[in-house]
Parts: sequence; C-alpha cells; structure tokens
Amino acid sequence: MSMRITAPRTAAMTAAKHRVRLPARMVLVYFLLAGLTLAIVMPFLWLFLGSFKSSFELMQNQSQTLWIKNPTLENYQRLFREYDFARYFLNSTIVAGVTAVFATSVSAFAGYSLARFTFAGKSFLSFLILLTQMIPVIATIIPLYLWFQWLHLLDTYWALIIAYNAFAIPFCTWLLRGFFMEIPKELEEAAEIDGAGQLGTFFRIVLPLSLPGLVATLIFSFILAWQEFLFAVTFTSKAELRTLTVGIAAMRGRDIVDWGLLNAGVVVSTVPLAVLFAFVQRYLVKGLTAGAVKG
Amino acid sequence: MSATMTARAPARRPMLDRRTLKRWMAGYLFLLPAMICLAVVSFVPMFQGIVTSFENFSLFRPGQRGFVGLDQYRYLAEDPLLARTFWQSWYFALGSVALQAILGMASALLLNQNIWFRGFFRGLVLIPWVVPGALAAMMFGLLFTSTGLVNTLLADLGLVDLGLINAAHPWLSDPRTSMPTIIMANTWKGFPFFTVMFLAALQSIPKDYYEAAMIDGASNWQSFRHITLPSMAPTILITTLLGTIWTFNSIDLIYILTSGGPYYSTMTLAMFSYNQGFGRGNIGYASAIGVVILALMAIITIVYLAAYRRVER
Repeated sequence: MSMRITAPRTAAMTAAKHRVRLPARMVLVYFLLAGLTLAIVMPFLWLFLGSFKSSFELMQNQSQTLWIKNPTLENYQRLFREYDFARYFLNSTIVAGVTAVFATSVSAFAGYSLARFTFAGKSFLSFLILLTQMIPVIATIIPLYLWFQWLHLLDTYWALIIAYNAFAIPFCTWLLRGFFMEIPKELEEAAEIDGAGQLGTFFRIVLPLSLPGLVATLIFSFILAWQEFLFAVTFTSKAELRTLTVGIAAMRGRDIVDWGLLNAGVVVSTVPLAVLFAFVQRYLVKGLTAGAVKG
Repeated sequence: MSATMTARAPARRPMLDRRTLKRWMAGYLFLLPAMICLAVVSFVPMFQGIVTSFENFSLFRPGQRGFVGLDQYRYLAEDPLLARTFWQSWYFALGSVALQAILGMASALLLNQNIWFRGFFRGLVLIPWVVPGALAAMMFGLLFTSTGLVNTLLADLGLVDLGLINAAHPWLSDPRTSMPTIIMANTWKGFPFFTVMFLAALQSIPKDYYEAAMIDGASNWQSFRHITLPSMAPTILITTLLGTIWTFNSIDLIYILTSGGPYYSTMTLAMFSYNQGFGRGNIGYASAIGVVILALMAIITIVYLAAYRRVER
C-alpha cells in the first residue's frame, strides 16, 4: 500500500534529480571514457605512425611527435626486401591454420559432451580440462622439447602445431560448450526420437545449428596460435621456420634497434588479427561468459 | 540449474538401464580425443618434468644423465636467486592483476553506462587483447626508451623541469623502474579480459536491485558496495585466479623486454627456469624450478577454490 503511494513520488524525484545530475555525471563518464580510449589507442597509434617515419626521423630526438614530416613506405618495403617477412607470414598462417582446424574439430566433440551428456565423473573431467590452464608452460616446455628432439620434430611445423593444442583445446572446448548449451534441447530430442543416433544428431542437427559458434571458435584459436611466442622461439632455430612473432623479435639488432622496421612488422602482423577479431568479438564475449557468469 | 538436476537424476536410480549406459558411453567417447591430446601435450609432460627434476641432465651433454635424488632441490634451496625470483614473481603477478582488475572494473562500469557508440567502445577496449604479447612487449619497449614517447610526454608535463625525473630516464634498464614498467605493459595487454568478464557479470545483475536501493535512498557508492560487488564476487574471484596464474607463468613480455635483467630485477621464477633450461642447458635444475612453480599454482588454486565455494554460498 505504502509502495503505491511512494512510487510515483520517487519516480518524479529521480526524474527531477536526473535533470540536474545527468549532465554532470555523463560529462565525467565521457571524460573518463576519453582517457580510457587514449590509454588503449595511444601505444598502438604511436607505433602505427612510427611505421611511416623514416629511420632517420625516428632516431632524431626532436621528432617524437605525432606529426610525420616525410611519410614513407620505406619500412614496409624493407620488411619484405631485407627480411623474409612473407615467409614468416606464411609460417604463422600455416601453423595457426592447422592448429585451429584440428583443435576446433577435437573440441567440438568434447564441448558437446560437456554441454549435453551426463556421465559419472563429468565434473571431474571438465575440471581436468580447466586444470590445464594452471599448468605452467615452463613445466611442460622442457619435456616437450626433449620429446621433439628425440622424434626429430624440432624445426618443423609439427612441433608447434602439436604444442599449441595445449592451450587451444581447453579454450575451444570451453567456448564451444557455451555455444552448444544455447541450442534448444528439444531439437536434439526430436532427432533422437526420429531414430537418429548420437553421432547423427551431432553432425546433422547440432553442428549446422552452431555454425556461427564453430566459425568464431576457429578464428579465436587461429588468433591465439598466431599470437604465440615462447613455443615458437624455443622449438625452432632455423630462420625459414620463424613465425611472425619470433621473426619480428629477431629483427632487433644487437646494438641498434631499427624501430621503423619493427613498427612496420608489428602493424603488418597485428592488423589482420584485428580485422578477423572485429568480425567475431561478439561471439567471444558470448561464449566466454556463457558458462562463467550464469554458473 | 536444470542441467545439474537432470545430471544427478539418473545416478540416483538403483540400476543403470541400457539407455543411460549408452549415453554415458557416448559422453566418454565424445570427450576422448580431446583428453588424449591434452594428456600428450599437458599432463604427461608435466609428470615427465617432475621426474626430470630428480635427474642431473644437461642439454649440451645429452649422454650423461643420471638420477640424483633431491640434489637439484638442495642446490635450489641454497640459490640466493630462488628467494629473490619468488618474491619478484609475486610482485609481477599480483601487481599486474591488481591493476588489471581495477582498470577492468572501471572500464566495465563505464561501458555499462548508457553512452553514445557503446558497441564501438566495447570493441575498442578489446584492442590490446588482439595484439600478440611479444609484439605488445616490443611496442612498450619503444614507448619507454630514453627518447621514447613516455619521456617526451613527461617532459612536456614539466616533470623534468621540476627535477622529479631524469630527462632521458631509461625505464627498462634502471633496476628501480624496470619491474614497474613491465607491470604497466602487462596491465595494458591483460586488462580487456577483466573488462569483458566484469561487463558480462554487471549485465546479469537484475535492474530491480538498483531501483529498490534507490528508493531506499542508497548512494551510488552504497549500491556499488552492497549490490554490485557481492553479485560479481564469483566472477571477480575466478577472473583474478586465472589472471594470477597466467601472469605468474607468463614469460613473453619479460623475455622480450629485459630477459630478467637488469641485475635480475625483473627475473621471475618462470624466466629463471627458462634461462636455466634453455640458456644454460641445466634441464634438471630448470625442471626443479618448474616443480616449485607447479606446487605454487596448486596451492593458489586450492585457496581460490575454497574462497569460491564460500562466495558461491
């Protein structure tokens, strides 16, 4: 009863309050937002602009401005002329591509199992998959190195592709589990009543329905593998097998760092990722938080 | 909720009928390929690493390899670098995660407001996430050189004239500022993950709670303290747990920026182990350090899980 009397009054009060408070509050919000944007964009913008400056201009103390006096593509040209940058690009694409396809396929089954099936020890097994995130890379990289040495897989794509599953599979499984849980259960039940086996239901109903999720997972695991550095730098020593991250790291000279060249390298290897990411970032947020927040 | 209910129902039945058993089998079989892969690339190497830590084994002299019991651990206990890297690892991990969580919370609260171009800003905040860690490291290396943007900006702000800092302060090669600089770079790279998780948690809090609080005359801070924070507690815990573990184990950034130097000022346990193993070839010793890290991770996980159970209830 009292609620009914107070409610309109508070509504009016808040409306009045809003008229006064909203602008000041929103000014603060936009001010902070501008600060956040600057903090995020500035390092990359600096690098991006630097990639169009000549090395001479970069070395000059006074040229530390956002203004480019003589914009040049020299750095980008040198990247492909003086270094085997195209090769690094190809290596990264091959390794990340194969990793993504393999990890997504394997994880599709695992994610479906965790999303739909019930069986003894399920929570333990899903915990085990999460547990791989807690295992330090440093504890596994040494044995893996020794095995690859023994199998003569060092300095091959295989070493990287195999090792990358260590982080790609848990990530993809978790993401896909979230996507599969969003499919209405009734469709699968109907398929099973119609006599489709579990595998048939999975291939004919579940996978087609979660195609966007599958593509998103494929792209994310591709991005993750593309970003990797430590396995790549440890398992390869030949220049022609360097991935982008390793290749760019190797461009740093002993004494002089050619910043223009490095900047161009970082831009070329990050921009494709950003483009891919822009397409699928909505799915990532949805998939990552599907299980985590709802519990 | 309903998933867990149905999950438990068949188990309570006295006898497993054939259909249930078939579904169990299907569940296992679907999980099998992933489990085999993870065993090969994660679990078996982990145990192999523990075994290697009891051996004397040099990468450069592969022929001589022998069981030495706890010798590696004895050397490690006497190594003055152990205590130093132990504390520096915590400094690095907790410093980064604290900043990431604060920044993540602030940006999540901002992006949860009714702002113009909200979708655009929510995408923008993810940029650091896309930049590969090793390349982000190089980017920050550029910003923090003695003639880099940071020094230029600080000079423009007049800090140099005030005598607060050196005009050409080499942030990464001064042992006093090397670790804070690395933490700053790591914060930039890592905070979007916190933003994403926190934003999702924020959006799942029912709006009525805030309306009720407002009617009761609660201030913004009180609403945040008594509604937002408790509702987000599970997410905050899980995110900080993962963040702490990832940061504690991460090497990329330090490898690229300082490799643990100058004067060991940025040497963490993980970097220490890597240097011993692949720099000096002391595989046994490096594995022993790895086991120490593994034990620490186990302890952190157990403590966090206990905390999580309490928060969940």
